[in-house]
Amino acid sequence: MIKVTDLHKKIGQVQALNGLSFEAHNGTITGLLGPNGAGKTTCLRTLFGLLKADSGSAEIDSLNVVTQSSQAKQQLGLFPDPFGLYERLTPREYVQFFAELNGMAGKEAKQATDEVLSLLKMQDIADRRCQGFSQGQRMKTALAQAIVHKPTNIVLDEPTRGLDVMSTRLLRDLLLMLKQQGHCVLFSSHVMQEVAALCDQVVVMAAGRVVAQGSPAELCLRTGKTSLEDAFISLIGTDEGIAA
Amino acid sequence: MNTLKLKHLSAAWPLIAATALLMPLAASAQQPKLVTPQQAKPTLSPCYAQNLTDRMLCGSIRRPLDAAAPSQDAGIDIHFAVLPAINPLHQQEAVVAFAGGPGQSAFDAAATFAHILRYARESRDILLVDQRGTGKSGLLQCDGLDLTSQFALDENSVDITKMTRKETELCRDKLQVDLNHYTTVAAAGDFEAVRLALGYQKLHLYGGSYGTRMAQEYMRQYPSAVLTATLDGVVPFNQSFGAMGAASDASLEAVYAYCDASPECQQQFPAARAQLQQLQQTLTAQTINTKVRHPRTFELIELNLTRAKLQQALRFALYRNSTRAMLPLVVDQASTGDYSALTGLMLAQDIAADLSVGVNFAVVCGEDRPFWTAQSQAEFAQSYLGQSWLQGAETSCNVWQVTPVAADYTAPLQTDTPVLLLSGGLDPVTPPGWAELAMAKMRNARHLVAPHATHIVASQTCAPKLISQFINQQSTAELDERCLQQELRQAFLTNANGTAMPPTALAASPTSTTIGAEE
Amino acid sequence: MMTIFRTLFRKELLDASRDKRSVMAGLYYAVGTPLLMCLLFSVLLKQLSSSDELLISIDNANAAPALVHYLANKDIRQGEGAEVKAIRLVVSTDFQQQLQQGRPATVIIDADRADDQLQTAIRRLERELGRYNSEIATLRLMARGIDPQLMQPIDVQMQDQATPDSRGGTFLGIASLSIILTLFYAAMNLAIDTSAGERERNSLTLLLSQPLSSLQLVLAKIAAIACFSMLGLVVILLVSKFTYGMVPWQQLGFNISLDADFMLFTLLVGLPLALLSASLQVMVSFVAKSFKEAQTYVTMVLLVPVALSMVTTYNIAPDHLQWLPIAAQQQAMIGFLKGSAIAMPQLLVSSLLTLAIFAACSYASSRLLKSEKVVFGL
Repeated sequence: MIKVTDLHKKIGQVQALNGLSFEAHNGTITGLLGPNGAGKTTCLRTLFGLLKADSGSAEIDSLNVVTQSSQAKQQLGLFPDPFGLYERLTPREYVQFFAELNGMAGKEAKQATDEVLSLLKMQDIADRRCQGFSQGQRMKTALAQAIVHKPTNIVLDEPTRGLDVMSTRLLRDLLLMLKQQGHCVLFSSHVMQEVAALCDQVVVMAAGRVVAQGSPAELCLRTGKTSLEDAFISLIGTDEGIAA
Repeated sequence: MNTLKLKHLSAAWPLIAATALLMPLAASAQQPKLVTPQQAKPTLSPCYAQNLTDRMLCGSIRRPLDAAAPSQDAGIDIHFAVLPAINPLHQQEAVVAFAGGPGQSAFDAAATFAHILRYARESRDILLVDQRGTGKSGLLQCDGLDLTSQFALDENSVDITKMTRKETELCRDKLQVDLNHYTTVAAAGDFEAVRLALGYQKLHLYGGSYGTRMAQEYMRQYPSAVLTATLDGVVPFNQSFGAMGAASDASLEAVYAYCDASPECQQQFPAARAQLQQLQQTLTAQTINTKVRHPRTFELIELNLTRAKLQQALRFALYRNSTRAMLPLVVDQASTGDYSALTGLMLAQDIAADLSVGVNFAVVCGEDRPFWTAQSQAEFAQSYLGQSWLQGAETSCNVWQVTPVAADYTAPLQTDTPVLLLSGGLDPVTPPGWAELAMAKMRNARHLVAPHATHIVASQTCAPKLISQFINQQSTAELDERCLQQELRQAFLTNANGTAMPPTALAASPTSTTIGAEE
Repeated sequence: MMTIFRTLFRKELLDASRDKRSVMAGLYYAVGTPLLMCLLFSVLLKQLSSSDELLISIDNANAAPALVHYLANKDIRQGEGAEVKAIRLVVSTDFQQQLQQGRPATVIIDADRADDQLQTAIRRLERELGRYNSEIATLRLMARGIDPQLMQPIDVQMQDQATPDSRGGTFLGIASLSIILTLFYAAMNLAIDTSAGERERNSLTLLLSQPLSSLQLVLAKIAAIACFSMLGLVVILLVSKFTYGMVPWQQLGFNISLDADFMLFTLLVGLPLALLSASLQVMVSFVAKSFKEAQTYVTMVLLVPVALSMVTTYNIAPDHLQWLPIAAQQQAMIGFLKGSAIAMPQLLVSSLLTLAIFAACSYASSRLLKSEKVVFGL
């Protein structure tokens, strides 16, 4: 479970987060939807402890990300944008490295790596260097890295950006699987269809705060629109920075 | 200045002819300490030699005085110095340098050896050992007359034989040593002991003058320890020192032959030969009593000029090409009653001052005199120097009573070891013919003659490079001797200021030449 | 704590070792420098060693045949063609006349002393003329019955404490300079790649999002880079031993030989420097905003060790500089090669100082990684 309470963060002259609060629950897929510049990435970076909030707090499984950062981070899997692969390492080395960083001992990490590689059907590329991988292979490697240490919470930053149709479908299946397994999945996106298709919960952000929260159906209901897209535009007051 | 001193080695030769009147020197009476011989590796400490800036490593080993009866506690400390290789590529080898004399200290000649062996030193250590009885290894020295007394001595009016005997007895009584332990044969073992103590597997030998005989004796006794031998100014086993009188005469003759062939010398000294003969005759008949300035104090002192003094002065002047160039001028001035230039020439004798008297007599009396024959004595006596040397040696050896070495001592060295022999064509002591005698039974030897060099070729020519090449290749086959041909003779001094003027320049300024020549 | 460090360190080593270009760039330096030095030294030695024939032009040689002959015997000859050095010896027309009259006879050496290539030759000519002078003077005094030694009231005996190993002087300095700078150049590309490069490839933020401290991350990177620096050091020592062994130093009367003891000593002394080198370059790379900028900054910062090493090499360092890192270590290396006493206080102080700088740079880097500006390259 991820809980964000009244986050404020000013970056330069911009108030990137302005009293942001929401919750993402286990067994659900929560979409963080907002136009470019709404504060989605800032929010996620605050969650990982990369940025320090001016005020407010973020908790992972009730662990404060600032004061209990190590434990909190171990319960967090990160699928970043861009992926941040090591081109000279193989997926196996890469994934195992992150498993060990998250506190798994050598043997345990190796086993977890094997598991996640087979789960994602990556055996064929597991021992090739990442250099020259396709987008889909890269995405899989990044995801394997995010979930290898079996965190309860998985955070994805614009996960479908740059992915082809096949990869997007694959990712969607994987996220649904994670949801089935009871993980808390939180992803940020500015792609409407994706959110509509996947999310149980949608958190709509604009200008550093939550403007609406609920299931896609609830949001449509609340705004009196038939499509989430219309609902979204009406919620934030503009269609700028939104992809259909 | 330096060049003069560099020739110490070259000039070091027995001084037992007429002027060698020896006085005991109290400080030099050394009794070796009685210590049991030890086999431990000697400790080496930094040390320096005269005129050599490079640091050497010095040490000593204890040796029995009598190798045949080492149980007797008498021993002697043999001192040695290692001049370390620049780049020790051949750590198992060293080049050992044997000094002249007999009786010269290798330490004293260190700067000369360092110069001669500078290329050889690039990859091998240079080892200097003071032969027993010389230098630091228990120097057996008696003092001679000081310069003023020497100048004043009139050899014609005293019984020179009696005087020599008296001084030798004084020296013997002061030194109190058994010279039987100081012959070449006895000393060779010390070099071997030093080699073993320092852990060198093989040696390259370089001997100069008497050092060539020491080197040959070492090869004879320890043939397997020697990789190569370079003999410079060779003294064969089968040649008496008495023959050097003839060598000296021949070398002097070469000076006058060169004067004959030189227009400048002819022009300045048209009667050079006659002047010398005249002076020799005059001095044979009578002593010239005169006064000269002391060369150092500038006081007026008495000079009793005799034939003996003249011959000694000429003899030592012949060692160097620069002093050879002075001879016609010196004789010319002496003929007109001006003895200052001759006084300057007599200074050259100083170079033999630090010789070990003990070793000198041990060698002369133990290894030379026993082999004299009536025929050889008659032959030596044909030259003035040879005759006076015979007399002096006879008198002194009767006092010292050294046991003759074995009869086979005079057999030429038989060896397969590569040997390079060097001779100077103008050498007044060890002429090229001596090297030919020495190499009679050497099966791997090559003799190179530098026609215009005097005693010790390596200190005057390109020979240091040849020696290094010889040592590296252990063969004489590829040595290019052409560089030894260079002209080393100098133009004759025509006045006290310098060398002769070429005829063209002479014609251009006749007045000044006249003034100059009359100085 | 240690597990995380080990994991990070292993990954840095693995990643760096596969970064062929950076590793090779470092090793090229380690292999190439001694080879280049060897070549350079050989050319230089050829110029310095003066045993060969020296050809000069002599004007009016006929006026002083004895002098010309003397010089010829010392292999200084009148020559023609390209081999002749730009040195002209002019014999005055009244040379012989002056000599005969006991007046100084003039010869003029006409040459450019500022020309480095001529200096040895000029000195050699001057030396031989000096010897000729004293030889003639000696004969003049002897011809007057005066002991030539009177001209030398003081017999100055130089006892040189130098050994063949210690005479290398500047050559030793240059050799040790090239060795010590390996620690910096072998690390340079890796240091930039693992810091600025990591940031540019976006893996830095991912790493920092993991449960680890930025100090652990920085130390692991530094340790890995230092390993490669040390590898470079080992390589340059081995290559140097081989190549320097082939230079005919002995022709100049000295020797440079790198034995096993020296290598061990250098590795020991070099270890703190490797840490300093890595931490300094990592810090500078993090401060830079981009990979390219990091290259520029690091290159600039490396001028400092080069300068420190240079002043040591050419022995122009003021005393207090000898307590500083690099300078003191290099001094110690030179001392070791020379076989002379090593200034232990300086070496210890500078080694501690080196470690202190390493600690400071590491800490600073870890602080930098807490800064949002640095992490996101803002």
